[in-house]
Amino acid sequence: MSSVSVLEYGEPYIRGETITYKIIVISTSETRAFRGLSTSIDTFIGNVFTSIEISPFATLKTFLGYLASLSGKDLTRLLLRYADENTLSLFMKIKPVDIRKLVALLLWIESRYDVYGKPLLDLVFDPETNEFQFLNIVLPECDWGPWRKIVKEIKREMKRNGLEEMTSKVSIVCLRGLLEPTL
Amino acid sequence: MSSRSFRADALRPDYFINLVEELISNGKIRDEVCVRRLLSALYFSLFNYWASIKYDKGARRKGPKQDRFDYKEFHEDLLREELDVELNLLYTYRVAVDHYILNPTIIQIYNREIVRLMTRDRQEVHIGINVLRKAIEAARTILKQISSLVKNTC
Repeated sequence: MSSVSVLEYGEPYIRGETITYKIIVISTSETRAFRGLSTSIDTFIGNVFTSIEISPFATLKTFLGYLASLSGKDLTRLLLRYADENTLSLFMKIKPVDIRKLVALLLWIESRYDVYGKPLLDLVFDPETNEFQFLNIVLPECDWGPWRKIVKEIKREMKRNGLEEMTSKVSIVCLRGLLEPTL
Repeated sequence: MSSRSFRADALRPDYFINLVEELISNGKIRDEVCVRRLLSALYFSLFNYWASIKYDKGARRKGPKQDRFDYKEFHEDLLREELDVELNLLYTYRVAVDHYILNPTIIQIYNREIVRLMTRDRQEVHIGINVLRKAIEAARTILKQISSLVKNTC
């Protein structure tokens, strides 16, 4: 059984400011025979561990590299960081984009835009036709001001890293920004 | 010179968008029904215009005359052009005004964590004149890009 856990640590940056780093440790679904350290156990079968460092300076390419060897099951588990079971099951039914690319994108957005809260995934369906429209990546703590700039940065990073086709399937939403004009 | 009439010439929404703006400046929008209908009309004026440009360029889709286009294709073209802000504003409020009766309301969201955050912070969709003003800005931005965005994607 694979599992995902997160370690967090802070490092001094400038003038007393601290940068938070996160390390996601995945006990993957891949099993392997390991040599035992004690004399009583020769070998044992265990899950292979892998780790992903969420650093604010990492590029999307870095995350695509981290995920290259993960199985579909492990990617699904990682996607649950950003979607609940309900959303995940809808996503898996439609599979509008490649899950590996989507998880890499979410990890990169989490690292780059940490200040706006952990991104959350949602699906948009048209209420008249019930047809799937696009995926929303929601930044919960982000308001109207930086919204356009963030969209441009994210979509350009996607285009630079071979995710051009995905730019038309994914929409970036600053939640506070979307609801701001109403006040 | 071709004598063919182009649908996009008839469906270009500049005048309509200006008209909505004038109605606001002249204080003619007095109730929620006006706000709801105009918001919806702004979205559909752009959708029609986008589809007409595609049609003029030879794209054929559904219906007896193959002139019925899907929202999804429209949305994908806008997202490809990085118009996420404008699309989200127009589409979210268009869905709210056409399909939801309460004001403020919360439109369908599948991820319960987002709903939890919205409820916690009392973030709801309020339908009023301020949204209509923002929708006009968004409509102008989309209109500006629509002509160029369909150039290479027929």
